Amino acid sequence: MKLNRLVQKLGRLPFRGKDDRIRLAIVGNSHLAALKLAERDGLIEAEDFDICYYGGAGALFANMVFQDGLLDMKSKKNALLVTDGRYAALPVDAFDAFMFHGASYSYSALLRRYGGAGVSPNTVSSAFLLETARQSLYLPFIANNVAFAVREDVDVPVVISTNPLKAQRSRQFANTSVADTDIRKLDAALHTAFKEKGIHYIAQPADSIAGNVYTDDRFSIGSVRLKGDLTTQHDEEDFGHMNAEYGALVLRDALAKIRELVAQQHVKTDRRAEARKKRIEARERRMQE
Amino acid sequence: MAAPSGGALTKVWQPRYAIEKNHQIVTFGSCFAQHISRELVAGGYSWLNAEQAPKFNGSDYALEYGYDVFSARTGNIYTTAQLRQWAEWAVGDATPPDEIWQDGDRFQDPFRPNIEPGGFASRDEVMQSRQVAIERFGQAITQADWLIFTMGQTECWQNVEHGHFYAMCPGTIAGSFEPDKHRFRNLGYSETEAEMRAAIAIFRRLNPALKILLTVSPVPMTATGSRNHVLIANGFTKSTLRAVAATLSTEEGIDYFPSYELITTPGVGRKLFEANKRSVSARGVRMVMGHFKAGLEGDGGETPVPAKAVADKETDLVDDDFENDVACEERMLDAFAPR
Repeated sequence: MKLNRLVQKLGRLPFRGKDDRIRLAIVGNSHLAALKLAERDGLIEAEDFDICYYGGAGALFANMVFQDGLLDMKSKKNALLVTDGRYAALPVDAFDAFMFHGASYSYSALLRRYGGAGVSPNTVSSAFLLETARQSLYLPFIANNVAFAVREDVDVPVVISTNPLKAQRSRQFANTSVADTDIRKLDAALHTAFKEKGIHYIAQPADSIAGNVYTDDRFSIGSVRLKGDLTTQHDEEDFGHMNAEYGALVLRDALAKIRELVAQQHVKTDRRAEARKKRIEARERRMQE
Repeated sequence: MAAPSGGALTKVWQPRYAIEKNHQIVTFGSCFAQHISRELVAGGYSWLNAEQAPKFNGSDYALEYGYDVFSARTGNIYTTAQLRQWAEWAVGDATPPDEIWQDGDRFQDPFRPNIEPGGFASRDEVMQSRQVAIERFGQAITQADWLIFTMGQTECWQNVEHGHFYAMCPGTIAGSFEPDKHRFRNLGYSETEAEMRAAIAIFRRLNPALKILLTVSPVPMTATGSRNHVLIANGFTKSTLRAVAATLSTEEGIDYFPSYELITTPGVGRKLFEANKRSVSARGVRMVMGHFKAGLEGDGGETPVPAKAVADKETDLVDDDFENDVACEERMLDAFAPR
């Protein structure tokens, strides 16, 4: 109980960057490192954002829970490390937008399903493709539940971005060819499936993809682990993690979308405030009459 | 046939040709054929599914879309004329018509009207999906050692101008019935046989070594397009199909499995139909498939599933659920049956 209270207290500490920047929480697993490094090294323009990363590699992310308005992990030390000392647990009401990245969605897994069945997405109907996309959101190895729970709790934009496809040199899809039209149909289905959940889906940046099924090898050189000062590199046989250049591309697409969604949210909020103001004025007029 | 006490039957079906577990078997036909593919898979036989769909663990939504039911996504093929039509399309002897049924903003395939729940999103999707099914149908026949075809109907609906046969009467599931464009046909013995022979000839062109196992669906008709009472119509249809199967199954490379007799012969088993007296019950299907399995395994003929034993085992089955597992457009005809 004491620990919980401490977490609550730590979690409720005022957000450090109190200004008019968009307060964005990027939640994820080891793939966060590429994004964090890209921002730290100035590879992406994000002055209008105050970004807080939250998560952990592997099981740390998989065991993340959302409870009482807080995203929480077992290892507070890790949480503080990833958030640069800001949070031990993440209070969701402190943010203007959320992005779930890494382990949130596996595009590779979906493609493998198609490859395994010898099916091209272009040969199935859009209704069936959408149903496949819907089902794919609930694969046990996808930690979407946390994102869905946060989505239910907050009234701010939530986006989700896929795990990167494996690097070309993995040769994971050696016997599979996927056409551009297939990818477009699959992306459209995923977009709709997530939209039904109130979440905006951000596809892997097109300029990072090779042959529709891989991440271009140049992005898998120099990837780092999500620990310490982001200087420990993955070994050469790691085909799954990407480098800061890749992180910059993901942030480029994601931040552009989040700016747009937050602006829409503000318009919506302003409209709501305006409508409420009018209702109050009308009520006051009636009372005066 | 031998008839030991207790209702157990033995050696009902003794295959003319062995079906081995490594033989590639493809299945097409009417509703009842769906049970055969399931039994083959459950028994460790090599059921060839040429048109699979991606699906996720614990999810059977692919079935709702007509995948994994037959060896390609053809939907139910009720008549020998339909079978011949699919065969001709597969080898390019005929071009599939561009006819599509529109229902609001959704589109249905007249030759597979129940394949896409809610209909396709566009005409292009219908045509593309049909083309894939035709290709996979051809691949299935080409790669197979065995074709199991369950004959279900003689009654059908035909396009007056072009002669193609529909899977259902236009206007029942989708589309609209136009008397000057659509006509009812009840294929007699000669035509049913000729259509089947034409289909077989095409199959042998694709695959000279293909063996064929014919069955007749025991599911009785509940509606008829003929002027006869449905009892008489059913008698005509089933006896026609049965007679054609009898003739063909004496020929080289063709065999017959008696699913029709097992269900419809009085005294073979109890409660072989659902309460609606039409749908074959889970118990009935298990009994038929038990004989199928016994025949395949050729174990000397001891029937592993005497009807009574099956009945005792199956009492917990929820038959409604079982029935709903089978995609059968015929049931929809009930809505149009004369009252």
